Amino acid sequence: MGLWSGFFHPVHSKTLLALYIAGVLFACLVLFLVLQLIPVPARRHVIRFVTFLGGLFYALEFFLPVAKSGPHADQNVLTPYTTAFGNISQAIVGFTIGLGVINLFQVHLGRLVKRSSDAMFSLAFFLSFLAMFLVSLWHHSHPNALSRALNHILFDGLLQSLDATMFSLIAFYIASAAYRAFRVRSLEATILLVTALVVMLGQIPVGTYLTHTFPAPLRVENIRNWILTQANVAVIRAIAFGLDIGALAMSLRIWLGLERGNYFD
Amino acid sequence: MLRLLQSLDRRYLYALLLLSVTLPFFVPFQLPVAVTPATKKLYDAIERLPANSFVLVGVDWSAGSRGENRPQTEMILRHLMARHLRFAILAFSDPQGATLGEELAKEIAPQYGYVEGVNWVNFGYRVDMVNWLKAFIQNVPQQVKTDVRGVPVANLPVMQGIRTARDIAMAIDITPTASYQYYIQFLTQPLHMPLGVGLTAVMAPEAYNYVDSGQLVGMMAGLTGAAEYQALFARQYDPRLPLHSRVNAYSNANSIAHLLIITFILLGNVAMFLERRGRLRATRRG
Amino acid sequence: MLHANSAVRIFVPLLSFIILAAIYVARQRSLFIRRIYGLTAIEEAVGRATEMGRPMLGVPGLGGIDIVTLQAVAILAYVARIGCRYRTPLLVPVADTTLLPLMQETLQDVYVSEGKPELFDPENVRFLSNRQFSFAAAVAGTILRERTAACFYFGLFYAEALIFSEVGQQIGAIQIAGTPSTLQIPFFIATCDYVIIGDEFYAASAYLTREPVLLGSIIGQDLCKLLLILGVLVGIVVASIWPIYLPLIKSFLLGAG
Repeated sequence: MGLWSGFFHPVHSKTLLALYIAGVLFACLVLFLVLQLIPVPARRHVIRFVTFLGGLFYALEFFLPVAKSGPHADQNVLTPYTTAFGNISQAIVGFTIGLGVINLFQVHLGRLVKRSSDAMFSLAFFLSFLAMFLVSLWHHSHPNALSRALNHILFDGLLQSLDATMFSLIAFYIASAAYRAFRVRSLEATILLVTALVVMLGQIPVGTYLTHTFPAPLRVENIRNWILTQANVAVIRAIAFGLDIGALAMSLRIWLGLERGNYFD
Repeated sequence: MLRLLQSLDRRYLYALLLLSVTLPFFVPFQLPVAVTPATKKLYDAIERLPANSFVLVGVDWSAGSRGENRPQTEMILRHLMARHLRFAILAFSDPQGATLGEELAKEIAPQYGYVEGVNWVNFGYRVDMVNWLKAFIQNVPQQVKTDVRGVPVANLPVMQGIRTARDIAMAIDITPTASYQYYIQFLTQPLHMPLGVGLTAVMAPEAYNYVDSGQLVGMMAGLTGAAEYQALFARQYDPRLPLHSRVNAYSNANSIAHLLIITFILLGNVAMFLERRGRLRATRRG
Repeated sequence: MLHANSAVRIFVPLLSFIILAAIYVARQRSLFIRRIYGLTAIEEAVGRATEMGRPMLGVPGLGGIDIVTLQAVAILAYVARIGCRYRTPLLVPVADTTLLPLMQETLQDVYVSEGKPELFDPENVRFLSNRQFSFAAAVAGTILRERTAACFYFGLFYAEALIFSEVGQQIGAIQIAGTPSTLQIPFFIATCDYVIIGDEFYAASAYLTREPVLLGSIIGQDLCKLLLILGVLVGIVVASIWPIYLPLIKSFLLGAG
């Protein structure tokens, strides 16, 4: 990676690290000021140009031939840089987490101050945020038996259990949704109903028992298998073709600056 | 009565569903299981592996999908241990995966004489799946560095002979997401590494495509898939397993819940049909 | 596939050329695009929310800044524009922090361009959580508390889709969904009034704006699909009559990069 690797390797010296961070912050400030000086109508062109460059890099990296063997097998001239760019975008995403937290604080603090009807929920948010944040920070910086126990209660006990609870709601909701939606209102609805019943019956032992005396092709588990492995596969593939071509078209439009709409104009 | 059946308060349905799901845990019983070809293919793929092969097990689920993915992981780990195959646990999608996978492995390992570090290892939770896998393919010990205990993996007996991803005989991903597609992209396609999956029932329809094209050697679809796998495993290795396994109770609860929903759908439709017929008759008379 | 093989190096540029050529043709003359019911119902949904005096909810999915989410943002911007004309607010909960400033700025631009900047409230775009089920719980809570009359679900969804769409159904909201996540479509069909399936999602911006470039892109996509259908038919014929050539075709299509 040559010159590039000089910048993207771990720095162990604290002074050098501090200088790097200061240098990057200064460079960002300069870049920000330069961008502010660009006239507003021209900013669109800058965005399109940077988007084009970014897309061009990844497109070239994907399409350029790779070495078949040797120390750089499965790599072309651009491949070593993809990890660095991936890390850069991860770092940017990390900063935006701060944005999300600020937004949450703004919304909920506002509700607490105004003492709106939902202020209790906002208080609950702050208490749980602080509890999780402080316990996790304590556990990772100075772990001891108490921090481990608290972390276990909050993370494994509360968070995991709440996750599982929300997921289990789906079972109840699908029951009520199926009861409401699977009605013989039209031909398509009837086909949907019959298919759903066959697939559901084919999954359970009671269903297989009901048709176990039938010839093999007419047994419900075999019909279910046919629906899932033949009919379903064909349909999913067809939809996937459409989706992938749609994704290609949209990617092309964004890359070449052809996209139109509120965000892109 | 007909109107009531068509628009029953959902709370009654939820109460009956709750009852039907909890009952099998107190009243155990065993129902016959019909094995689907996709599950059989996965089972056979592991059966075909040479002794002492190394298998990568992706535990990419969290507490939310524990009901379906935990039994699948349990059956895969049991099968690997019964066949004396080495394996490594790895998680990308959620930090909980590595912890839950390790808990399960530690629970089952004593039954098969498996020791961590000697027969199995936990690589832990890793971020940035794409870039991590790209580097992992080239040099496994260098990319993994240490296991969850902080022990350098290069020194572990379980990692003997494992230098690159080409030394790994098979990968299995247990997940409620589409993370297996990255395994296909980075392991199956370039390295021709066999890949099997355990998916939640919701994700399974999409994965049948990959089973059909051969990119997946087999698949367990949901809780039913885990029950099917247990049936195959019990037949060959441990006939007493279904008697004390949780998979039975889960599968029975699943079956009863299905029956309940089917019953209510049919009742609702019959009621709607009868009411419609009644209205038609009244219109003709009038 | 980490890098393109010969087949990809031929087909992707070919498909791209077809799409770009169609875009060029669309700039010269007007093109037809069929009705997409889910999208024509947007105005009906906004009208209903206006009549009931209740806000609308728009969920752009769980993805980060990718093409699916950008398309969702474009559709929600359209919804916000219609809502702005009737002074009906649009609440937008987001699950990705990178989407938060993007969504706020997009909506602000919409309100400014409609001449009603005072209607824009940045707090209507809220980051809730990046955890799937925490987000679902928070959206469900928002729907119940705000009593939203119309809900729009566009973007990438996973298992949590059913949770908030069922809650919306329970309070009687009119719901329109569109997602490329094929596995969530059955859940949306069971709970929503209108669902946009498959690549109708990508056609949405073309349908709503009638921009020649976007319409041309849709036509280009259809031509690409015809080409793929032709390829499938050729494959069927070859597999049936000349199976000896199948390994050759397979190695060409799936060969190494």
